[in-house]
Amino acid sequence: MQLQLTGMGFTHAGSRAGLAPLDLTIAHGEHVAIIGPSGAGKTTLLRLLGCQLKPTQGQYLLDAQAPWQLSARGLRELRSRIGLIHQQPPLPPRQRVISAIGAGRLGQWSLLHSLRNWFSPQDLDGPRRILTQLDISEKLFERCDQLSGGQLQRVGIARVLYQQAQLILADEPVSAMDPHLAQHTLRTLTEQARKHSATLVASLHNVDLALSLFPRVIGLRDGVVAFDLPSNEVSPAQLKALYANERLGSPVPSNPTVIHIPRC
Amino acid sequence: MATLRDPASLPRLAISLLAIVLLWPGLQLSEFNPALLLAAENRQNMGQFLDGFWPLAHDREFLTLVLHATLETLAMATVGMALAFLLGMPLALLVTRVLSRRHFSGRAASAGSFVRAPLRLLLVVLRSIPEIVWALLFVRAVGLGPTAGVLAIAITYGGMLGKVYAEIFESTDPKPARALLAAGSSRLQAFCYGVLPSAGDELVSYSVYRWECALRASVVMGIVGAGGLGQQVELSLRMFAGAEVATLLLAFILLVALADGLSRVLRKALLT
Amino acid sequence: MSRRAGLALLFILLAVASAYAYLPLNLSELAASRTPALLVDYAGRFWPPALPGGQWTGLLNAALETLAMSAIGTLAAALLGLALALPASGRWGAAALAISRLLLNALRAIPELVWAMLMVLAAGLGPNAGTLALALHTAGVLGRLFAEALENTPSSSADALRMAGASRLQAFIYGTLPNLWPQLLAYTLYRWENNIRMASVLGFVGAGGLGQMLYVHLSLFQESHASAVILAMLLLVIGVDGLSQWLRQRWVVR
Repeated sequence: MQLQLTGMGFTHAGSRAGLAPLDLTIAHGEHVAIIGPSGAGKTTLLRLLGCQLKPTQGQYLLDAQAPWQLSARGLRELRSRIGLIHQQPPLPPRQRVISAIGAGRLGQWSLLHSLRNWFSPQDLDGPRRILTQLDISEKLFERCDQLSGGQLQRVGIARVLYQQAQLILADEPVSAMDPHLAQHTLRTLTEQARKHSATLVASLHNVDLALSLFPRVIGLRDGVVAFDLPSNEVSPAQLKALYANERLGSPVPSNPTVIHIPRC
Repeated sequence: MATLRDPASLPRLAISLLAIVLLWPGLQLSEFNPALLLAAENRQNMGQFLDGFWPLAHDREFLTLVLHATLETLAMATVGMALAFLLGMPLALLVTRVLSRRHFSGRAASAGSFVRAPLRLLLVVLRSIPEIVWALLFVRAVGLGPTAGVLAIAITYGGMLGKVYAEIFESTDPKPARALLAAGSSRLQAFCYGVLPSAGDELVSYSVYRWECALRASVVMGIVGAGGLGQQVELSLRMFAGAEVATLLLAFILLVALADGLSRVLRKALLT
Repeated sequence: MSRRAGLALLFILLAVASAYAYLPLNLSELAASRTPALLVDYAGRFWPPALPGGQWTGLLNAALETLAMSAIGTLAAALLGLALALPASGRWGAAALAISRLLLNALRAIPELVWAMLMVLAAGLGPNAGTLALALHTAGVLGRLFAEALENTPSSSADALRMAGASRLQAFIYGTLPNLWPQLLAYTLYRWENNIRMASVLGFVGAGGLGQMLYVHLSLFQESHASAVILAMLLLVIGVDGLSQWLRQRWVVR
C-alpha cells in the first residue's frame, strides 16, 4: 500500500496526543521506523495511518483513496487489509492463542465461517507456521492469560501476519522482549512483510534496532517530525536532540475482573 | 510436520452432544411450550383477565387492606431476619474453626470437630429446604397467619446466615484471634476483638442483602396461608379480579423498590 | 463506631421492635404454652419417611420433572435475559435502554410463585406453567446481571477487531464473549441453584413438580409421606448445588 499525507494533523481538546500537520509519502512495500521519546505522538500517528483516528486537518490518501470518504462497508473492507500490532495486544485473557490469531482474518470471513471457526478452529497449520517462525509454536493451544508479556506481543504479531495485512503498523511491537529476542522477532516481522510486499511502519523505543533493520527512520518529538532520513544518515547529534530530557512514563497496572454474585 | 489436532475439539464435541442428549428429555419432562400462551382459548381467557387490570382497584376498603398486608409483609421479613440472626450467629460461631482452641495446637481430630460436623449438616438441612415449604409445615403446626411465615424465614435464613457468617469468619486473617486466644482471652473476647473488626463490613452488607431477600420471600408466604401480601394475591386471583391483582402487583413492585433503596441507605450508613 | 452507624443500629432495633409489635404474634406465649409439646408431637409424625410401594416411581417422576423445570426454565431465562441485556446495556440507544430496563424490572419484581399463578391461568395446569414462570422471573434477574456484566467488560479487544475489519457481531463473539461468558455462566448457575428450590414449590399453585405431591400429602395428614417428598427435595437441592459448584470450578474459576 502506498501512503500519502498532505498537511495531515490531529488536535483534540483535552488530549495531549496531538500531531502537527505533516507531509509524508511512504511507498508501496517500504519499511519505515518511527523513533522518539514517549509522548511524542508515535501512537497517534500510527492510529491515524491505520484509519482508527480521523485526522482533524489535511489529507490522507491510501493507494490514492481517501479512507474517510468511503462508505462504512468500504472502510471496513479497507481496515481488513490494515493490521495494527499493539504494544499490549488487547487479547481476551481467556481466549486461546489459536483463536486469537484466527481472529486476524475476521474481516475476510463470513459470519458463518467465523462461527464455525469459533466452535472449532478450522485452520491449525497456518497459525502454527507463523508461531514456529516466532519460536512459540508450543503455545498454540494455550490460553492468552498463560503467556508472558513478550509471548503475548508475539501472538499479537502472529495475528497481523495471519491477517496477511497489506499495511502493517506496529506500535512498540517488541518492547517486552529481551534485546536478543527483540531483534530476532523484529527481523522475522520485516522478512515476512517483505515476502508479502506489505508496507511496514513500526514505532520503536530501541534506536539501534530501528537503525539496523529499517532503511528509513523518522524522528518524532512533541508531535513534530524532527527528521526523516535514510537510516545511515541519522547522526548521533540528531538522536541526542531527539531524546533530550525524556520523562519516564509509568506503566498502568491492569486489574482482573472480580465476579460478584448476588442471589435471591 | 505431523498433522495437528486441537486438544479441545473432542471435549467440545462431547459436551455439545451431552447437552443435546440432556435437552431432549428436559423439554419433554418440563412440557415447555411457550406457544401455548398464544392458543386461542388461553389468549381469550387472559385477555379478559388483563382487561380487568385497568382501572386499578382503588376503593378505600381495599387500599386499607393492601396497606395492612404490605406492612405485615415488611414486619414479617424484619422479625424473621432478627430471629434468623439470633439463630445463625451462634451456629456460625460454633462451626468456625478459627475460634477453636485446639485448631492451632495442631491436634488433628478434636471433640470440637465431632460437634461441628453435625452442626454443619444441620445448617445444610435448614437452608436447603425452601422457606415456603417450612411455611407450609408451620401453618399446619401453629395455624394460619404471619407466625408461620416468621418462623419459616427465621429457620431458612438462620441456616444461610450461619453458613455465610462462618465462611466470612474463616476468610478473615486468623492471626489476631489466635494471638488473643494464646494470651488467655476467652473465645468470645477473641471473636469480638480479633475477628469482628475485619469481618464487620462483610457481615453487615450480607445481612442487609439477606433482609431484602427475606422481604421477597415474605411477599409470597401468604400463598400457603402464612400472612402478608401473598394471601391477598391468592384471593384476588381466585376471584379472577384483575383490578385487585393489578393493584397488588404494583404494591409488590413498590415494596421491592423501597427495599432496594432502604438497603442501599442502610449499607451506606453502616459501612462508612 | 461512627455516629452514623450508631444511629443506623438504633434504627434497626426500633424497626425490629415495631415490626414485632405490629404482628399478631407472641413468641413468649408460644414458648410458654403447650405449643412446644404439640410441635414435638407434630415433628414426630414425620418420622420415618415412607411411601406406599407404588408411589416411589411417582416420586421419582416428579423429582425428574422438577429438575427439568428448573434446568429448562433457567436456560430459557438465560437466552431471554441475554436478548434483553444487549439493549439494557445501552448498545442500541437510549430509548431501547429505557424500555428494556423497565421490562427487566417488571419481570424481576413479580415473584416466581405469582408468575406461576398467572401462568396457570394463561397456559393451564402442569409443568409448562412452572417452567414459564421460572423463565420469566429469572430472565428479569439475569438480564439485569448480564447487562451489568456487559457494561463492565473492557471493550479494547472488540475495538481492536473492529479496527481490523471485523463486523460488530464478529467482534462481539471473538473480542467480548471470551471474557464475558464465564461471568454469564456463573450468574446462570447461581440462578439454577435458586430455581431448583423454586421449582420444587411451584406445585403448590398447580404448576408441576414435587410441590404438588407435598401439598396433597400434607392436606391428607400423611406426614410420613410428606417427609419422603421433602427428602427428595433436599436431595435435589443438594445435588444441584454440588453440580453447579463443580461446573463453576471447572469453567468459571479456572
